[in-house]
Amino acid sequence: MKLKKMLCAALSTVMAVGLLASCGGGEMQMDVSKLTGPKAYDEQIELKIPVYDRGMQGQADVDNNYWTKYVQENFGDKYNIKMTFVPITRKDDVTVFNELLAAGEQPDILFSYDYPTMVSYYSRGAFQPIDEEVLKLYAPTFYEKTKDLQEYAKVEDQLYFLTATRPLAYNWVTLIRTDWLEKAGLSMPTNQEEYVNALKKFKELKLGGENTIPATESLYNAYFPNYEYRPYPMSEEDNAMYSDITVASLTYEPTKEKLKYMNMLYNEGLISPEWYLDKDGNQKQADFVSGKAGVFGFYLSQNPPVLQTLMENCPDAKVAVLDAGASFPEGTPPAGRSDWPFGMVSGISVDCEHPEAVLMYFEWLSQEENLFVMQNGIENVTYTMDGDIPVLVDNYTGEERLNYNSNKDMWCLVTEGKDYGSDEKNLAVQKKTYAPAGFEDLIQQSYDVYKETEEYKYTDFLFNTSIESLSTYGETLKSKWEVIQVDLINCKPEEFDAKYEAACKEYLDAGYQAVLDEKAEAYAAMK
Amino acid sequence: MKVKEKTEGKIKAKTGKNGFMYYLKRDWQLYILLLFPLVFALVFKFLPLLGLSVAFLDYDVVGGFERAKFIGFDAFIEIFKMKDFYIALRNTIMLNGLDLIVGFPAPIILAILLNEIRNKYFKRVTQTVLYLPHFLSWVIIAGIFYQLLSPSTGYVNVLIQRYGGESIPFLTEKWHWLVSYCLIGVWQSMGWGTIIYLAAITGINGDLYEAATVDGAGRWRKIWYITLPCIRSTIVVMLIMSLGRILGISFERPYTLDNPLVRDFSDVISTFVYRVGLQSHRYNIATAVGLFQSVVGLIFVFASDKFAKLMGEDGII
Repeated sequence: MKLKKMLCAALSTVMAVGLLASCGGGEMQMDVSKLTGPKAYDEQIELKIPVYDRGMQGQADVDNNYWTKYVQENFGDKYNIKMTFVPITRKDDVTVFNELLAAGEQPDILFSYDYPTMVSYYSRGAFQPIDEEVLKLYAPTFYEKTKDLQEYAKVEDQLYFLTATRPLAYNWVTLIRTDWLEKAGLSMPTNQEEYVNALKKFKELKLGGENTIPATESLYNAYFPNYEYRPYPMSEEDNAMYSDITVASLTYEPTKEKLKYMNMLYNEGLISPEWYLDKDGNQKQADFVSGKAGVFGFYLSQNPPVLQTLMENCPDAKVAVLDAGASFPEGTPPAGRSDWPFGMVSGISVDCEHPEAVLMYFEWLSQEENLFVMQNGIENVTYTMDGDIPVLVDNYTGEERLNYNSNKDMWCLVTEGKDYGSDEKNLAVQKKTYAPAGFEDLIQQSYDVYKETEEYKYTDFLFNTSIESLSTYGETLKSKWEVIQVDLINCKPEEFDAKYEAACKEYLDAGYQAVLDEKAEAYAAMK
Repeated sequence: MKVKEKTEGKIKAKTGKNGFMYYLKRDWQLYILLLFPLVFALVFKFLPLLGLSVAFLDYDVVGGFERAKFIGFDAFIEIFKMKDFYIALRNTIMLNGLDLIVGFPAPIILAILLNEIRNKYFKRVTQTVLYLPHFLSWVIIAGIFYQLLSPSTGYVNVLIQRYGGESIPFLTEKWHWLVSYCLIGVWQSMGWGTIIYLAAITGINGDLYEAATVDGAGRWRKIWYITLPCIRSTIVVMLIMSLGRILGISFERPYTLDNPLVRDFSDVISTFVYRVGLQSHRYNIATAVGLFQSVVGLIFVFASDKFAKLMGEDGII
């Protein structure tokens, strides 16, 4: 009996301590009048900056490498700041940030490429406001470069975010095998009819062997482009309701039309037969590389060596960027989703004691000379100058080698790409950076296609409040959407309409109705 | 008088009516040894139970416990209103039930078969080879089987088609998937499961077999009348324990073997919790489902223990 009592007492003490320990912590606020502008701290402070860890093979530790030391020596030591980099698993970034928040161990800034995620952190009270005067005082260069993006940096009229700039990149390409087009006696398809016809010919002539895959497809995530069937121009309200990369707009008419089109392609055998098992796109890349497939979309880069391997497997292969109109019915403008004008969005943690030090770091990164070194490294070691264009040295493996994608995960805080001031110069750099040797023209073609269609592109609608139901139901709807898209694309054409009706009902019940209602309300409130 | 008191004291000690302090003084070394596992259980088994409070709070990681409000049973009510929860519950019971039917007897049969092997070396090598899949991660196993069983390019289906058969959708049609799921599970865990039964079989007195041989019993008879009855209590304990896990299902196996075509059957409680609770940052929902699982598991353990006792076995409680 006594033992039991003792145990009870011990247990309840431990519980009480546990509860007490989980409390604590408070809010930090800057006192503007006391600020003096950037200068070295008398006592060393620590600045914790998150950095994406992509788990790439052959890379140095993201939190301890030549370039983190470089930042320490050139920025940290100057101001008596100890720079600590906190690795954030790229694939699980939101979860990792949440875990750090739960433990009270969050770095001094939290960031995301996804604006709604940032708004959701905000609405849960994770950030402290930023005073515009303080920003100007401590980060004049950064302020100057990003002041056009202020509308995105503010939530409910208060500055909360530090938004990076996003220079245009032209490395997303959809390639078509032009040698197949030649063999089929066709020219580059410029509308949907010609495109489908070309795919049928590819299959009929078995240009990729017995199991020719005319066009590759893989399982869609929540972003399901349906611009082919959207009205143009699209009303702002529809854009607000249905343009979304967090949940698919199943009940929207253009989505239905696009699904029907995909259903036709599948039933005709014109897309990858096992597209629904290909979650990460590895299978379609393998199919294209082995020469079985005719159309393939991807981010062109030197590594992985997609085109190099294709040329090894099929020395006669020729590729070109698919015409922008190829998936559009004749007469519809080739509209599309335009990237946000901002890149990475960061916010200063509510527990950060030295927000001005964060701003000083952003300022240091933004300064032309520092950014250039962070992006290109050391002259004649990691890059050489070709005229006035820096060209990275291929496969440099010394200690000073840049981290993944030219250190991008370190400087993404202030910009999303290398910007050398003019379109021509940027294009020239991108040709050298993204295209494998001999394929520079693909970047040019991609640039041309971009310029051709630029006027028809528009961004998604941006809400200035957090749509809570998106985070509540997002994952459930994503899981439903996976099942529904497979069901609708793979079914017999005559079953499509009935299945679509049933799927819509299920989808609305699973939370999409709540999302639509909340969006409508938020939209009305903004008007 | 004095003598009497002394004797009384001795008698007292023998009948064990001394206070707790007496034993503590006498066996303090043993109690200190006991302290370690007690502290371990306290820290790693009981302290985390505090986290269950999250099920009744409006908890968010950013605010922490400080800002969480008490919401009573709201999380449970919300869960019991979700259609997907019942589907996940049904699938969990179905997959675990099938696992119990197909997967539970498999290691017993295998253990008996292994026991009958005469060549010692062959027996050991076989045993080791059969263990191996247990050490593979489900991610790898799922990868291997998706490669092997893919409908158009998988080795198995290519072979079937070459001999004139139709391609079989092993993992891409839900009923086929169910069978594949069970058999892959048996393949993975069967070898490992035999260890405990082989140990039990080793403990059987050899005289029993000799006597049976003298009586003219063959191999079947010996298995049926000696081996099986002798390991019956082990079997019952294992059964009770697996019944306790009827609602607990590993995350990796259904998640890695899943694909959108079989989501009807492959969405189980663990994947449901991952999606609705963790990925959506609704920790109270995740905790509430976990609590529900544990309570049902506990009921099953008690019920099956009672049942075992009715059957004349010892049970585990």
